[in-house]
Amino acid sequence: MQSSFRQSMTWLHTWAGLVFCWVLYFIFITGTVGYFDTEIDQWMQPELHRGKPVEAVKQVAIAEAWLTKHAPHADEWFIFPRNKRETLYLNARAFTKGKESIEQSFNAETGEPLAKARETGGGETLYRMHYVLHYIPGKIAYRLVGVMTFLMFLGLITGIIIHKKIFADFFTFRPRKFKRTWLDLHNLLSVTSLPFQLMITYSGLIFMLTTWMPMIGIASYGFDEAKIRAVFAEMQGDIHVTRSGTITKMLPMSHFVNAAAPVLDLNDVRHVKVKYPNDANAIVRVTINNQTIDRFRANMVFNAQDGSLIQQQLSDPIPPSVVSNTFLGLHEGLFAGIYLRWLYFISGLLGAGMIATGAIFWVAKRQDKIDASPNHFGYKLVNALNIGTIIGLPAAVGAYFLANRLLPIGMHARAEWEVHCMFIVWLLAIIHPGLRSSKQAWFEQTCIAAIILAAIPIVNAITTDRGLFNSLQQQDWVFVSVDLTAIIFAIICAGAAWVMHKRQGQGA
Amino acid sequence: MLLLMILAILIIACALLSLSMQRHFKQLLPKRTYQPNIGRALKCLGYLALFLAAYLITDNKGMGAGLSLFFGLFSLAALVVAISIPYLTKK
Repeated sequence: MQSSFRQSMTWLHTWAGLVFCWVLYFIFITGTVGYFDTEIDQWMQPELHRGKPVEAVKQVAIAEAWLTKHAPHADEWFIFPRNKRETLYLNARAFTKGKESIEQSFNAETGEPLAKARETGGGETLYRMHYVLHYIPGKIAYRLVGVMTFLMFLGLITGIIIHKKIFADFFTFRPRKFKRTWLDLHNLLSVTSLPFQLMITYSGLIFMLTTWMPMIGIASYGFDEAKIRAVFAEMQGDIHVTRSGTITKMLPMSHFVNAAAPVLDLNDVRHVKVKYPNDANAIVRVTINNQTIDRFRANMVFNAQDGSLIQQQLSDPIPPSVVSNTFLGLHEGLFAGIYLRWLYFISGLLGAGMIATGAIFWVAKRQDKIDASPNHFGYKLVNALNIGTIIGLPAAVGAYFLANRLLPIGMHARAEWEVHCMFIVWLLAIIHPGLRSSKQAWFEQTCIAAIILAAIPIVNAITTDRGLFNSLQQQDWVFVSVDLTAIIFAIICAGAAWVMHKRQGQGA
Repeated sequence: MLLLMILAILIIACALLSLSMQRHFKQLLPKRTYQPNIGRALKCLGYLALFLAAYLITDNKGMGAGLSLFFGLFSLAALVVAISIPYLTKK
């Protein structure tokens, strides 16, 4: 038993932090990259061009024509117009119970169906990894991530308790003092970004609310999952309709979009959803993207035959749901414009840095013991996981981007192989430190990370016509940003490798 | 432009707050003697600059996005100041 409260908290901080820190680092890196998921999706399908923004009403007409031709009596139509950020290309989907769903994407400007692009996991796969990991069944992974989020929260709280002088040491950073420097950096990264770290972890826990506390629903509605789902749907303003079986012609979709125009911002339509199209009971819902922090998607529901307004929801009517959705909205950052999105990205990296410096400090603090017994399995394992994850994982993410450009276009299970490439590089990075001394492993992996990251814009320029210079000329800022970000991180890695080399030369 | 201005104000705020602490005051201005009154004045000015930045950004961008931007920019500003101090005072 630890003798004082603070000592117990230090023990808890050390071990709750260390045991899963590499997975938490993975969650932070993939989640952070995920703030640019749709931009990465775009970069990973260079065959597709977004073109200029087009009025929602024109786009909806294109999709409606296709749906009327291919699935006039489906259970549900979804039309996703190309919007500000979240939906890249106009897309039409039809769902029918017992049948496979059908969908088609279009060039919103010309109305032409989009040619099949390369199969890729895109930014979406990277983003999903931060809450369902990979290679593990989703439900189990989601619960595991829940436990780790809880440990992360515990780490933050215990960290605040054991940090004796948060305000007095707020700006303290003492470079070139080994142990002291790593602890200073760990404190500095944590304290300066503490509001973000607390928010992201606490809101992460709210996502897991009904997974880890299922009794919330069960207590009121029993174990009937369908019933609970129906209650949730009702809470979110779903209107229950049944198919009448009588075929009736609907008003054109443009009518509903025009009817919504005075109330909703049609530059950012999420989707137009039709329940039981061409049936006498059909209803049409026009929903716009959440542009506010509380994650609420304003929407209007119309009768499909006479166009009368059935329901209009412009704000969340349930106060507790506003509170929880504000946290979830803050976590997802979907409301964020481009500058705030970059700040989210930087804050996420600070979180990853906080975890990394904590893990490095764990080793630094025990350096004397490690030097005394260099073959101790525990120390070797922590060291290998530290190097292989802290620098190996960014290199592996770089490999994921490279795989997107280098794997044969028509390859079977191409998207899955992109991910395999990422994990193979990560695995090699974890094995490599076992074969080299710690200093050599850090240096070599940092060099490799720099090379992989620097290769991204080069390979992009060679294999596509959307290299950095072309993108600059065409003012295609998404492609420019991905290439430049890779270059910046390559320079940072090269700089770090240079510093390591210099210090090794000095024998420091 | 607004964001750059807010970032600049926040860097000034962090610089003032760090100067209000005896340790950093001695590091940055070794020839001057630290007096508690000067420390208090610097602290007040620092907090004033922080509140000014918070007011300007929430006034322009709304509470939700404004506060998110504020904390993001504050992290950056505090890091810039903290990491610069030892390098500014290096002889």
